[in-house]
Amino acid sequence: MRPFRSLSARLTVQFALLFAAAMLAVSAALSSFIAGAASREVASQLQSSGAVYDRLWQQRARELQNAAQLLARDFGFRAAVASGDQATIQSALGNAAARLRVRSAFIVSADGRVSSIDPAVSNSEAAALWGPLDDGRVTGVSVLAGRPRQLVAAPIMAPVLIGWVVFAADLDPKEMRGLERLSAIPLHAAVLAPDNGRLTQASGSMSALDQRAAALAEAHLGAPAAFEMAVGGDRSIALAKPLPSFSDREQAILLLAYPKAEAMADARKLQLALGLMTLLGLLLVALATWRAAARITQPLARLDEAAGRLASGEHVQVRVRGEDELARLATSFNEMVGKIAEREQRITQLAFNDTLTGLPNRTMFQQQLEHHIRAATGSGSLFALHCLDLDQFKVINDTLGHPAGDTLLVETGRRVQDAARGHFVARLGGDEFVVLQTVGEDRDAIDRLARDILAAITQPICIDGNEFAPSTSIGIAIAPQDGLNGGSLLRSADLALYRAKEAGRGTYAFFEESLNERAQQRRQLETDLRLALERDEFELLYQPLFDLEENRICSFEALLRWHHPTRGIVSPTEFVPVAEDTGQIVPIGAWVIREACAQAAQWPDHVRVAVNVSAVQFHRGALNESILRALADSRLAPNRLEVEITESIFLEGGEALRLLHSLRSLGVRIALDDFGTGYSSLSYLQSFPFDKLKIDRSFIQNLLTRDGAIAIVHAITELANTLGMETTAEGVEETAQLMELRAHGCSSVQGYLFAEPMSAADVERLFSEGTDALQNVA
Amino acid sequence: MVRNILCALALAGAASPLAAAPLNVRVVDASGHPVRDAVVTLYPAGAAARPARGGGRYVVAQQSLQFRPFLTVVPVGADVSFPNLDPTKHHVYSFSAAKKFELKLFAKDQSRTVHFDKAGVVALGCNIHDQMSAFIVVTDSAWTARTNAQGIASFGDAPSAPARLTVWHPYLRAPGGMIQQAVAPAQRSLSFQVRLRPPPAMAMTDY
Repeated sequence: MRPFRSLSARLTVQFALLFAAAMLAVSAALSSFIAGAASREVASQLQSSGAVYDRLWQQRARELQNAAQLLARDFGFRAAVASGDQATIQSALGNAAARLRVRSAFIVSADGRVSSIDPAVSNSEAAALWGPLDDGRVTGVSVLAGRPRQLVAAPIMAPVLIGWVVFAADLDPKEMRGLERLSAIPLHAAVLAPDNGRLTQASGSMSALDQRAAALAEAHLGAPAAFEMAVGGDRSIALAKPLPSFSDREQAILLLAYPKAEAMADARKLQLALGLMTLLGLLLVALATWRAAARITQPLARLDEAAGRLASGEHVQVRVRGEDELARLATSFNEMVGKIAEREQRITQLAFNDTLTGLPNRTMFQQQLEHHIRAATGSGSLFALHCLDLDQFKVINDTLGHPAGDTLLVETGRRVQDAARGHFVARLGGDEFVVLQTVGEDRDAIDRLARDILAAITQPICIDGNEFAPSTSIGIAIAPQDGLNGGSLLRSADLALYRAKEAGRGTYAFFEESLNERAQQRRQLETDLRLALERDEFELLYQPLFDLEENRICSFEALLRWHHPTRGIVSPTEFVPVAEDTGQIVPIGAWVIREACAQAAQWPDHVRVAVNVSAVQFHRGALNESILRALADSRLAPNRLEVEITESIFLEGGEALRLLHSLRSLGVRIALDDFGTGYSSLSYLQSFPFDKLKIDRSFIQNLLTRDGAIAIVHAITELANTLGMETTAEGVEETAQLMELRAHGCSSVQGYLFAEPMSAADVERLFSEGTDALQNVA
Repeated sequence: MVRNILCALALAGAASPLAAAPLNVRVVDASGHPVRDAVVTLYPAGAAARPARGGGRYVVAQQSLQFRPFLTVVPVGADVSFPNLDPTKHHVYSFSAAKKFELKLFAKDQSRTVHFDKAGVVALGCNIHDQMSAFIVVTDSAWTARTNAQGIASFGDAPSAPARLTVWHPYLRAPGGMIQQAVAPAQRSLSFQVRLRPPPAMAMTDY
């Protein structure tokens, strides 16, 4: 774990510590230098004071000595001494002593007798000086009457040496203080003189030294350097100078001491000032470092915070200051934020918008839908969901190509958006568009919008030079009444859309509850269809085709019937589209082929069976395998099976022709059903050699009543004959029709005029009882 | 003149009825060098003692700001005259116990005579000229001699009796400038090592 979570704190502490160490080192060095300098200064002052004292001492000694010599050479005094005239001696000594302000003065005679004016100094003490005096000593320190004194002596010559005059100047506190006052610094002076093996002290203001201090002073005697010692409990810087002693044996000491507290007072002040400055410096350094660190870290903190906000999805910009690295970082950050925003927008667009039209896509629509539902349930307001589906879009896409289809979609999107300005428009995929319309009190607004959209869409459009008028159907569901959630509402709108389509396209329809019921019925139908095969509810009926040349039945078309357990017979027009939608048509179709082949195998050899094949079955159902199996199982000759297809199989793409050819290669016959309606194109006839064309019943029904109908049928039969194809006319109900068809060369006919579709059993009976009845008709 | 006295003394000794024999005394200083002009006096005990022959006239002149001679040995009762041969005044004095006197010799060629009637050393000084110094040894023993350049004083007829011997020198470091020692009758040779002060005149030059 790191001790500092903040960079600025770490920087501050690190730099402050570094500076502190440096400053403390400098400060300590300076402090030590100051102390050293002060010590040296004191020592130097002590030395110079010592020198001054030396001079003073000598001066004083000379003064005393001059006086002593003057006295010693006085003829009367010498006469008195030589003659032992005590009265004269005493008065002369007293006179000189008073003049010199000296208390003790005495004479030591050459033969050791003493004459003194100071009763304090004993004769024996004075007599003991004879030796040094005789050695020629004339000045020095000696202890007399227990006190150190400065002695000076002068020999009395008469003319030979008869004795010495000695003056003993008292080194009393007053004397010593006088000495101390002469110094430039306030020091304490003391004289230590040996007396019977111990040092006797004479001092002014200096406190009495203990033996240890005295010994220390003695140890440093004559040393040029000052030393430290305790004087009366205070540390002092001291200098010990040798003083001439009156006796040779022991040395007297002049001790100069300077109390350290006083000596270092100035240095202490300096050190204190230095300490304060160091402290102040430290504070300043800490402050400066903190500010500098803040200058570095504040932009970082701002970037950190901005990055956090960016992470939570905010669009942030940090302020750029200056031109340094941090400023560049901030600039880069801002650029990055901008680019991220751009990319987010792009991603959002990709996620929520349709790339082709630029309109919102299904995902965004669903969000909007949920949002509208929530808003509607909260406020009690209404909104309408318009579902659009272009009519015939698939055909346009297939015939004009996908780029054209895309152009149409883009244009449609633009038109819907223009028409539904102010409302939410989305493309759900393919040719499906939706509009979410918020509705107030005015419900007619929904109708108006739907009409506006229809009007906008139906404007002619020109694509690749082809002009045509698109149209759309609109299914409208109103929330919340038509659905409580997005899914149900969308389903309702889809059902309404189906209804609009059923109603003939190019129109709009509102959702009604009945639509829902129909949808339910359809779902029931799907369920029932899946069970119908298992329950054997299907039956094939057979409608005969009558050959007009042979005058006999040449074929039966197999027709599917569904016996629903509860609804009875259900029309193929009702359930076949459902079966196609669900894919059930494939197994059902396979069953039809198998059943038809099995029946046909029972019939006379010249009778064929025709089976209808759905486009779905054709493309998805492995039709070849179903047929092969049915033929193999029934042992029916392939040419007795006729597959009827409609032109719609060609709409699914190029695979159709290949399949037709492969069926043909099996020997199966191919008939084109409902010829003449829908998108009939003669090009189909060119691309595949059908065995038969079945002329649509609409031509036959109007054959006698509509002008040109006969001509068309004639043209078809002529065309078929020329191409080597047979023709069958469907829906023949009247003899007159039969007459015309025979006259114009139609190969065969089919219809109620001859026979209704009949059960397999009836077909059997027909063959067993003969087909005369039918032949009679023909 | 001194030599004459010594010869006289020696002759006097030789004439003694007591048995006599030569006695040699040698004086050296602290460093072993012979000390000249030390006065050696022998005092035989009891009947052997004999006083120096008294009387006689001696001269200690003041010339060139010095006494001449520096050392004079005279018997008790001698008269010494002090002629001033200098153009300056002299104030000759003695504080010595043997003879105290003061002579104010203020004129050239002025001379005064002092009678020395008591044995002892008389130190002469001039109150005007401190550097002037001279000694007169007044002796009361017949056996008094001064050491020669070899530091030797000889008594040819020293009696064979117990005696006291004194050695005096103007600069000898001892009370009274004198040391003494007993001499056994058979002892014919003595040796002294003495410590001397530097001559005062030299010391006075410091001033």
